[in-house]
Amino acid sequence: MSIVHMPEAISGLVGMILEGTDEATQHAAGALAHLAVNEEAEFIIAHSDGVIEALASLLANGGEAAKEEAAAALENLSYSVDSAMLVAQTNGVITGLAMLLHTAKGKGIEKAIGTLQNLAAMADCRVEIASAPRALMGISSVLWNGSPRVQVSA
Amino acid sequence: MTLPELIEKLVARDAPDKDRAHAALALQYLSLNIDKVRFGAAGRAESCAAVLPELCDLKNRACNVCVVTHVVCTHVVCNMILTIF
Repeated sequence: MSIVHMPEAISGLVGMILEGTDEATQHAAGALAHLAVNEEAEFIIAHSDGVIEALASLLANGGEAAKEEAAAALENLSYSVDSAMLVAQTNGVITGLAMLLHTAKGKGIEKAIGTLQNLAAMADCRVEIASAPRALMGISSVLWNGSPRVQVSA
Repeated sequence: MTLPELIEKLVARDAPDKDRAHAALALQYLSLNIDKVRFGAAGRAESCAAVLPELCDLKNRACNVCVVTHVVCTHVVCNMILTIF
């Protein structure tokens, strides 16, 4: 038995993201990011009710650190094609990630660009990313100003 | 504390925000080692001394996470839980 096999654990983390304090939402999103480290866990978490929607909400409304953790969780949840499609189809994810490229620093940019890189591996997502407000400008900004690591992802 | 007890704290809507935030933090740290830490049928973490020998260092403190009663454990995850709860 592991944490991802306990539905109440995942739903508890989702509840925390939706109604917790800024500190709590940060930890809950961080837990999801750490949990989604292999394909089995990624599948279970991505298909759990409300997870991706909660992370999208956090991208829009969370504090800076919580947004970073949300982007980290989405990066791990967009690794395999199946769950990446769920991530890409969730309202607010691509827009939120694009905004993060403009507002975040360091880790936040790294995780946002990493998620967009994962999503861009799917042809269906490329147009959506390119059409998102300020997305291309954000990616260009990372190309010009980011660390070598994030430049590669951009 | 067992994993189910930790989850109970997480989902207890009437619990203080601080307690729930701590539960989320504990889960975050536990999940850092998810590839190594496994939970037994009773929901207790299996011996971190056995699973994480490189992280577990016996000292003079009882660990309330591991099944094995280390008299002393500075395993990063256990220590975090001990600190939190």
